[in-house]
Amino acid sequence: METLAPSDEALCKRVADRDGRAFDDLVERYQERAYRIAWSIVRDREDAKDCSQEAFIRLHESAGTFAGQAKFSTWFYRILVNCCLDHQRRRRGWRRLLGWGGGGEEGESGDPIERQPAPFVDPTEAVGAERHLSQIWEAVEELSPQQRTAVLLQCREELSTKEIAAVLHLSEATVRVHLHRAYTTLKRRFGEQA
Amino acid sequence: MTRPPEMNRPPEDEFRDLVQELRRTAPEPPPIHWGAYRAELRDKLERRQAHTPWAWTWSWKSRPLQIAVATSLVAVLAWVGLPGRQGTDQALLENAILASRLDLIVQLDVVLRLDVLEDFDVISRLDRLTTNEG
Repeated sequence: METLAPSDEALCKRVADRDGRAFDDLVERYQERAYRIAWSIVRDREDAKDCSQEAFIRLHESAGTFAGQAKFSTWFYRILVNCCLDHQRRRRGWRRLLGWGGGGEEGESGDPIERQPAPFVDPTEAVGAERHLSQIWEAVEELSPQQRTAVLLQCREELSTKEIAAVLHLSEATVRVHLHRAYTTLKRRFGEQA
Repeated sequence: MTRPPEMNRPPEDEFRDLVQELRRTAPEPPPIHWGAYRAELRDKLERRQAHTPWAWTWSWKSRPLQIAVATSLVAVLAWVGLPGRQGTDQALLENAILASRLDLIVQLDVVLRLDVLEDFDVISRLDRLTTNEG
């Protein structure tokens, strides 16, 4: 007789009760998605690995705070995206310190995602075999961080606007604006190339 | 003015096509070994747990002497540092304030002659004095 696999939410509750097996199960379920999302944001293999692992560690530490009002995946993606954005923020600090960039054109918006830098592309990685992006995804790379994150969560992870809003801690209307601007930019970019 | 046929498409359709194209061509991240990934994660988790407050509260009970010495030291430092315990505290504070005004002290000769400013006749001729001196 086939046994029904426990839900993510049930596993999370067991993680809160310090059930190591439940944590391993959750990691196995989400490791690929977590790594893929992290990579989509930070665009570096090792950084993506570190960020996704940090998200699992934070999940382990804060499983008891999962109230179950949202889906587990939404809650976890939010932890993950925060890890990636924290990482980007730290890297921006180092880049500024080392004088690699940091123009003064960034807005002073209160939205933490608004303040994220454009992705830093490691030239050694860019010429490697790992980076074979289609033209359209190359254009996505040039979008603002909040637009890029919204696009990848919608197109890649197939999250609804409501879920994206929960993950990014924004209103649904703001997410729609980000997506609309992103698609308009992409459409215009490809209109110019055609 | 007529628009080309492709311009007559509703934006929703164009966005839908764009989303489909993005989904179809979404890049894959570089592959990694999942066994090694989980092993590394377990290692990081264990190291993190070793530094949690829970681990600390468990371990301090096995070191009562060290804890007692550290607590006594903190208490002595706090007692010595209480306001009014030492007459030099105020002087230290003033020195610190003066140090923050070093740019003023650089002009010490001017500062020493500030009482000249009390002489309104001098004040009224100050510009001229400056000119003469210059």
